[in-house]
Amino acid sequence: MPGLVSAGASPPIRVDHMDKMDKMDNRDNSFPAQLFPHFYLDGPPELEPKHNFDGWGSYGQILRGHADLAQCGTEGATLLGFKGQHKMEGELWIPVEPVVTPLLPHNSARKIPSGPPFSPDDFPEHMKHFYVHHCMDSFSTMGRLLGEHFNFRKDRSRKDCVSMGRMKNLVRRLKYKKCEFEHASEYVHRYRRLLEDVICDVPPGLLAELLHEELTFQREQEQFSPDTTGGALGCVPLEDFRGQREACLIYPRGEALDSLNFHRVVLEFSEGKPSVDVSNEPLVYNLNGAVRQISAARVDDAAQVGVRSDYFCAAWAIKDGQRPRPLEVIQLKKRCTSLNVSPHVCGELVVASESGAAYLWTVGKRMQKVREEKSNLYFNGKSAWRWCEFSAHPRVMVFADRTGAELTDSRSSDCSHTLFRIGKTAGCKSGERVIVSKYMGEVHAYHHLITTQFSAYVLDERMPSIPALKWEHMMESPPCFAQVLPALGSSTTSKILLGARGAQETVLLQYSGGREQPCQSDSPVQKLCSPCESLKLQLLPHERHKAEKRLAVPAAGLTATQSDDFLAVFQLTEAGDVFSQMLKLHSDSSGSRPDPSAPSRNVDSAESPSILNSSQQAQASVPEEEPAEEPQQDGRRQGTSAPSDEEQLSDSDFERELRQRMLSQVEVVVNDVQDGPHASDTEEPASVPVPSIRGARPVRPACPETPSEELTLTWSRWLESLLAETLAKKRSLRHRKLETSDVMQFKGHCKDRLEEDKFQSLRTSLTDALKSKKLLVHGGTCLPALDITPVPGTVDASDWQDDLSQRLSASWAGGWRSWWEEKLGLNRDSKIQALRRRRRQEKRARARTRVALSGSFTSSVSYQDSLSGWSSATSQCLGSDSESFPNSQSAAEDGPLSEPETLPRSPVVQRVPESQAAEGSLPVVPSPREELGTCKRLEHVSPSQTQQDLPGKTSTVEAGSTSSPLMLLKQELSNQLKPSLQQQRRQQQQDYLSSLFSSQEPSQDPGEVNDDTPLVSSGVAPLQRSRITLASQRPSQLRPASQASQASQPQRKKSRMGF
Amino acid sequence: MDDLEAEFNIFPSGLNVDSSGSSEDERIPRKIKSPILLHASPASARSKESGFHKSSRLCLKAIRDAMLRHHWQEAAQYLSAYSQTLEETTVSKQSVACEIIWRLGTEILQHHPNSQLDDFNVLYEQMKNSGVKNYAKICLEHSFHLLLSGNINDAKRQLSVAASWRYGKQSVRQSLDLKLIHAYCGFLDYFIWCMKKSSMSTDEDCSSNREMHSYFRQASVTLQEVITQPGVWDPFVLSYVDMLEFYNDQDEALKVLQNYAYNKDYPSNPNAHVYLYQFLKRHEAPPAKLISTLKVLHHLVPSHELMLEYCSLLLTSVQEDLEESLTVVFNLLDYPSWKYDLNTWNCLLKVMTIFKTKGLQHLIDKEWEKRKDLWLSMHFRECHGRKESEENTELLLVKAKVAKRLGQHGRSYNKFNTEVWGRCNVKEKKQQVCKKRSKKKPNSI
Repeated sequence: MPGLVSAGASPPIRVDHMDKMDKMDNRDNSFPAQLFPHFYLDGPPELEPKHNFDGWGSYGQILRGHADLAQCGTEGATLLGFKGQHKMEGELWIPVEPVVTPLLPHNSARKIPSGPPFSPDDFPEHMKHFYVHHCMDSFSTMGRLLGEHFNFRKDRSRKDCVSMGRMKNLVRRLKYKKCEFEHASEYVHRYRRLLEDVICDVPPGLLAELLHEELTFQREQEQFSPDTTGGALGCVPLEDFRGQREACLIYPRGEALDSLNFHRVVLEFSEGKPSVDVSNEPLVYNLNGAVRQISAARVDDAAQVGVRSDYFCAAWAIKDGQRPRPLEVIQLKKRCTSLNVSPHVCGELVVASESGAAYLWTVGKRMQKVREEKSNLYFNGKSAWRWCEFSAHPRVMVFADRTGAELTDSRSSDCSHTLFRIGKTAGCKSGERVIVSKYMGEVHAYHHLITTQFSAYVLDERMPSIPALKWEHMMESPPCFAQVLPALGSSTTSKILLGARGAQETVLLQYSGGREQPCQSDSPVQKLCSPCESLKLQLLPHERHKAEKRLAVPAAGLTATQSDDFLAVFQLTEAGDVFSQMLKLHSDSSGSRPDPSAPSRNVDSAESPSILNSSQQAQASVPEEEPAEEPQQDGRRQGTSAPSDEEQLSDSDFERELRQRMLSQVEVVVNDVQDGPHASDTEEPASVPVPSIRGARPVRPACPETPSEELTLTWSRWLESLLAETLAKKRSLRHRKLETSDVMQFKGHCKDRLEEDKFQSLRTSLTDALKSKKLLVHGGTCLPALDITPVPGTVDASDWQDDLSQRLSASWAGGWRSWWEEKLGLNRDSKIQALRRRRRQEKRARARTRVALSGSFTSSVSYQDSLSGWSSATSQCLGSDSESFPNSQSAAEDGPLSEPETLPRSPVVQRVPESQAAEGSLPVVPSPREELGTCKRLEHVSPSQTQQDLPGKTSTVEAGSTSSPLMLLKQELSNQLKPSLQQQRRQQQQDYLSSLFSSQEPSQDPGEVNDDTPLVSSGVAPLQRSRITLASQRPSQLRPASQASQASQPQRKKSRMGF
Repeated sequence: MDDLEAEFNIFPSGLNVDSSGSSEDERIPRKIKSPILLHASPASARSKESGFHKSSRLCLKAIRDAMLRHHWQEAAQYLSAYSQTLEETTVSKQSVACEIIWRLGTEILQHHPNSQLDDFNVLYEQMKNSGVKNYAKICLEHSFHLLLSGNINDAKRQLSVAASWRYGKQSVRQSLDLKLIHAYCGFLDYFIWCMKKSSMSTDEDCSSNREMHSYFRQASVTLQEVITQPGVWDPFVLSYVDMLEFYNDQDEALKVLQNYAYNKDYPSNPNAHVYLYQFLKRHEAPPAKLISTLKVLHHLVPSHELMLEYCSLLLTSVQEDLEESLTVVFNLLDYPSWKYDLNTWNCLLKVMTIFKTKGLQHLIDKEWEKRKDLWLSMHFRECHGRKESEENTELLLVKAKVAKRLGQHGRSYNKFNTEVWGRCNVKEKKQQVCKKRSKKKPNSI
């Protein structure tokens, strides 16, 4: 393995760096002369989080700087010397590429865990998953587990097997109470066989409890990810060597993220294309467990690296010019939750574990317990997570848990005071918890960063409890990775990068101050690219799915390094893939601040006009590099009315088009408002400031919309290697083939000519039928007659006068309750009332001397129709449970009164209009259930409906049958009065039934169709036939219409006819 | 289930129930809350979502994405569509929508290249009246904006209007905001007072000027009020004390400063002690008083800049205080941020010399024993010697002397000292050192 740093090189040790450090360190000692006003309140937080947009549109507090500063009048904003806590301007950091760059080939050893994808809150899904996908564990496990240890055979006992014979003897001798069902053991055995996969071995109650416990744990894991807090990605800047910036990137890889890589990378922050060179071979250490956290710090002349796994912690040292050297490994009894390297003293680390204790670990010496807390610091946060960090004093540590953080002096046991607590003072929201705490020694010797799921706080340990600065970071999931980058000059900002595990979010925060001036945040929160949003290449759906899945795994680490103009951010995902992205400082923003280095940086704005014209046309296709961005935007702004805009819109990327169109609209609006010389303004946004009170607001250059060609190539290579792996795997998977040629052989040779002819004719008639869209009826074919089992005769409920039968008939019609009420005489009162009412009505009717019979029929049809079809229409059973007495129609009215008479014959017997009965449209049905089904179907063929639905076809029907529904019902009524009539029709009905069957037969048995029979009834054909046709066509053709007409009907159970 | 404990207020023994604040804290059931993501409603709620809600949610998401990526113009476009959410009929949702529009709108205006002050005014005015719940907050932000853009008079007007605002029952949040509004109102009064003062030719005119006096009275009433509230009020205290001093009310000023520094209800603010110390120093208080002030500060912030001053004060005082000076300077050098500070090392050397002459070597040894391990690895490693021999030879010299005084002769650190100073012309160096620290004897190497 090649060494990390070339051994021969021993250049002067970062002279300039140290000087900077010295100055910084001394400056850190001064405390701001004035702090922003802040309330100091006692008590728990009460603020309810309502939305996640608090981070915008607020200045926080303001104060006035020194009077002399005000008189300087360096910038417009501080004319009166006032300054806000949240500054709106800041450095403009523009992503060089719109997507992240895969830094290394994908970690092929790591497979994405494809566990249950549901959230821990979905308890039933988890139970289901266990039963379905782990059935071998959930069912009959005991037998399987014990089976091999028991021997049921009598012959000879194997070793380490218990013989059941002896066992029985033993049990007998013990006079143990036997199972009482032993005599039935054969049955028990059978039942066991039968129910094996139904009755689970683990009692559901116990299983549920355990699962709940596990899910609670998992939920916490998901919410806070205590394991991965801190992040398993480190970056140690090495000294400049021959003008190259080098850094040692430390990241885990391998199947379980258990091999630690020290990778020397070369950072090229050249103006044109900043890049990270990873051509050096990494130095790999294989560890015993997954790497959870990597903490690195530069102390004196060497970098110290701490690596935390679940129960082990290890320390490495990287000296300039030498390869990384492992120092020591420690093991903890409880899960380790935090490991941090001291930035002050070489070889000191601080460790915290779930036992609640924190230790100072000096390499080569024993561990010293700094603090131990069995409970949480400020309230019961129910969390075993502990975090420990260093502070400005090498012997004072920050001890944090979910409820807050304390500064603990390791030299004395009881000396500690609050650094931060979840409470009103910090303006916390209720339910807020500490996610991670970080000592920002590089940025400011006394500053600490504390993040919660809502906010990020900067705390000065000289002024504890009151946050020096607070951001609402507005991230979707809690940020558990934090990286800080110090300000490189007095006028630049310090940067904080926060990374969340769940959604891979990364945000950039900037702040300044903390020394002579109070802390101010610069620029609003900026979101950086994340790997899961970076898939811009066109892929086949399954490949895309695979790639998306790979990219969407949670983040596992975050680190960054910087130069004057560039910021390189590295992200690690749990799959072990490392991605990088570059941000470039847009120098125009420096106009708002007195920056001595501004002129030297002002390169791209100076050269922008020269590129402007030439690249305007080409930019749509080649918008890669940063310098090209400026003109691109200008081109767009100019092109709002010019035709060149259309050329840009021809870009295939729809999103880009949309955005541009939108922006161009914005520009139009803006230009209307502003009557100034916008032509020159658009040419050089920085040099000609908009005459507004607040001074020029620099136009933010747009970040590129499409990745550069090089990056596209890198991505396609990366994806290729990712997808090639699955392809290879797929080939190894073989499908089992089943030969079907002999099964499917058609034995046609044994048929004689006659048969052949039959088939032929059947086929032609079938095709004819299909052409004319008619039906192929069995009777119309030459097929042999069917063997039809006659349907048993109707059960006439009136024949069965016993109580049970009557009750059954009543309950079949839904009148079970009223039958009982009737039987027990409970409805006596209501009956009397109804009788009275009826008499009153009769009297009234008589008084009016108007016969409203026909009207009542019509309405009764609609009513009954809408209720439950013919059966209730004809039976007029009013006693059903669900039924009320909805209207005062006479047909319904006399129900309760006539019930004693109507009940026996009511629900079961089918009353049909005479016309239909005469045509044999109703089959005689054996059982009430089937009967109901039948009439349900047939109701759709009632003339009134047919008339509506199929006007053309039913003309014949109408001609033959009674002309109006009114008449029909009259007949029906008369039918009711003469039930014997129906029995006369039975024969016809049977005919009808047989023909009904035959109408469907042809499709089932095509071998026996009679050739010369007309398949479909024509105009002269008997009515019966047409009705049959309609009846059998109904399910397919009539349903939509009938359903529409049924819309208001209570949905009945879908019943099936016997055919 | 997991919140059952919290519901019934069951806590494991050993929790710090003795502290008075915590018992109050624990009455409230605490459930860990995730951020409420209005722009991404959960899938379960999505089925019930109406089209209006869906489109406003998607719009909010688009705004959020654009703003987080600093695409302000795109966000502005979306925001104009988002204003439709104000038609929301649910009161709670509407008030949230109000707040969101206010926040997002202001932020977008801040960054939009062509926004004018009038746009801000219109937005602030509309939003503060459409959601009265945020009235005070928006007023405050509005006046901040006016102040930062230089319109002090408008800001003053805004604040005084808001100060007299009353609406129904005040929430805690609103009442705090109103307090701040009053305070800033007074602060601006002070600011105007300052401007008047600077426009006057002599102090005589000032003190007799009636207009100024009325501003002073207005300001003092409001500032006094906010200062009695526990908190960090650096600008308010300073301005109040400034005015009091101007009108020769030293006693009141001292009282205010002492309350600000020593009241237990207030957070431990190093500035409070610094202000008191500076006040005392301005009015030529006796050294004992200064020392006692700085003693408290030393207890709170041992690494404070004033500690060097404290140390020199101690050296001039009585025996007991003198003894403390050693601890002070040792404590200072415990902090890595003072590690490379030459003055501090010189101070340590000086203190050690004085102690030695006074026969207090045992005190030095005692302090040294406490931090021997730390200092040897933090200050006197070989790498430090190498580095300082290249960068800061003076520091090297002083540190080496300290090391020798502390009895660390054979350290590898000292070898660099010998190397550097051995090579050079000793006489020259001696002269250099003598010039800088004329009190000290030149070192014999």
